[in-house]
Amino acid sequence: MKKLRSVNIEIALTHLLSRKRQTIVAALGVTIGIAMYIFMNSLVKGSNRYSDNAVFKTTPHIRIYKEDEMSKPLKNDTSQNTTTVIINPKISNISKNLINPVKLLGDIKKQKDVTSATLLVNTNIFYNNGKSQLNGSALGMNIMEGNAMFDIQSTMVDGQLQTLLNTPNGIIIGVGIASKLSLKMYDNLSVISSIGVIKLMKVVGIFKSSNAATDKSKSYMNLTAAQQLQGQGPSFVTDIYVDIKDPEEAPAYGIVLHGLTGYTAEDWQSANELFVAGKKIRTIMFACISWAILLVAGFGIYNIMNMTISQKLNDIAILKATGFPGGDVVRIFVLEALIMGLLGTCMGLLLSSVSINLLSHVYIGADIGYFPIQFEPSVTFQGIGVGMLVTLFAGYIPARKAAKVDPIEIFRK
Amino acid sequence: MDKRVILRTSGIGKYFYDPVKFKVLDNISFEAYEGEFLTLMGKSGSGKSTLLYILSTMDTDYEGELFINEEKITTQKLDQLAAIRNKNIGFVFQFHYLLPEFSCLKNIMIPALKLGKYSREEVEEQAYQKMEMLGVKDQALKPASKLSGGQQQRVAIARALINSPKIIMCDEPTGNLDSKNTQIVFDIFKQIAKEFKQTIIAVTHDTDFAKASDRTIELADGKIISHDLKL
Repeated sequence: MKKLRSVNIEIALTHLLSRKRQTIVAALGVTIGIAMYIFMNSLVKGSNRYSDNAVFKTTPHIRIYKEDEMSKPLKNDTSQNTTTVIINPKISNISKNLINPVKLLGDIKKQKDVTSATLLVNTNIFYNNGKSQLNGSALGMNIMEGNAMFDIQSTMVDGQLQTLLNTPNGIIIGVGIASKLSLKMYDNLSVISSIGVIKLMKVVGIFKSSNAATDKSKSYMNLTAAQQLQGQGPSFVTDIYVDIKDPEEAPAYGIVLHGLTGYTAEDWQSANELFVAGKKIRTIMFACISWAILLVAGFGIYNIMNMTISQKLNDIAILKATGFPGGDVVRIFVLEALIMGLLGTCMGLLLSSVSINLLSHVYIGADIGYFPIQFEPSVTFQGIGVGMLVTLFAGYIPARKAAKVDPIEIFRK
Repeated sequence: MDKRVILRTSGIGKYFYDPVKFKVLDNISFEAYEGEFLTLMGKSGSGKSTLLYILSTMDTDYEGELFINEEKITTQKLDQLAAIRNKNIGFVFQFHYLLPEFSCLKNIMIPALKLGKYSREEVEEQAYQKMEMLGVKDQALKPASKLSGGQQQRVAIARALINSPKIIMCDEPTGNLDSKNTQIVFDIFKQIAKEFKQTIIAVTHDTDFAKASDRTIELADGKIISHDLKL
């Protein structure tokens, strides 16, 4: 068996070596195909990762909150002849408070795959400085837990998160609020909540996110401060933010958490539908382009193999006459295609690595910094696999034709 | 002398369908013996080449039965036939059909490597022996395409001999050769048949060639008209 295979390999290699130029041209087709496939998919993956991260800087994987309940009709219409008596639906829940949040948090944290979970108070407030007033929203939470989830520290332009922990009336504001109200570090700022509670707070940090609207409205404060603004005690919590291991699992996990807590569990995908749709379109678009290029490369190999085979009809005939069965002929030519493919794939890996490396050094600016592309092992392996698959097919179809060559027809000419 | 039958046909018939159905071989029955130098003669269109390709096992579309070495060949599968050819039949054609990219040595070695009975070193040794016998040993490492026509044909014969097949089948083996090379090839065939007891079945229209063979079968219009034509 080993000897038999080595003859086939020897024949295939000799064929390839005696047509170096053709071999290289076919391999170059694959090179470009594979390089583009890996490059484009890395590009998509890199930019998806970047934009996912941007989303996860403000959105948790799953947000648990109490959905507004609508008042129900007093008497529901049961048959076609009766009418509903009272129809004046209104939001019927008075408070957005989650009941027994500490126990809920404990239960959630016990779930496997939950990487972090934190209690929050989400409240709408007005920022006042002298006569100027800005409306916005404040997140009351343990800032270190929040940082673990959203990496707030990386957006800070002034001050330390730690300071907030030691300053009960501290507040971290967006850079937009700071400039509009001309606030500096350690300035005082009066905050009025939607229910009219006024609280004097001290600026202990300023952040700048990638979203100007957020910078103009958002602030972080301690949980107690936010509870006080709502005129509530320490058991008042409006949201629980949960992060899980794999963000893609969020919708399924949301259902689990909904069952566990009884409250609405919104996954980040449904909170950002437009974003998710855009990502899908991008992924499909680039997949189409990279597959098209790969197919062209496959046709290149197909073409050259076809040509080779029609030039080698005599050789195929004599091989068959001297005892090589059709299967061996297929193996010889598929092997040739695969070697071309392998050669092309290796060069493609090199080319894609170089182009990824080049692009990753292109400075984009803003908070993106350098182009969000990097070497992606999974995409690379996929590229190798797909490349070899395409060459396998591109080689197999002409090889099968070669195996069907009737030696008598050749010899009789 | 007790002659051992090496190839036997019984009632072989074959049709061509293009352009019209036409019986090209009709009830061909004959035997070829071990160590016999047999020639098939006949006018163009008599079906002699067609018969040879049926005997070679490459053509499977025929009626009747073919036996090689008392083994029934008819109805065997294609892969089995390939193995039978590899082991038992050597081919020499009018054109040499050497693989142009390979050295002469490799060309000769390929069928033996396919057979896989001997190691590569042994096969190489055997290939050199055959080349020496055919007087082309000094051409061994040249690419097949660089040789003269006579040399190429001798390399092709060496290739046919490498697996020591029971039968050598030839289709106009001297058709492209000058008289000097024809004589060389002819002498080689005689030697093979006598010394190695290998059977040679050659299609030819060269009367001198046929005259020198052990026996000549003459075909006309798809029928055997003489089992031992005297020329």
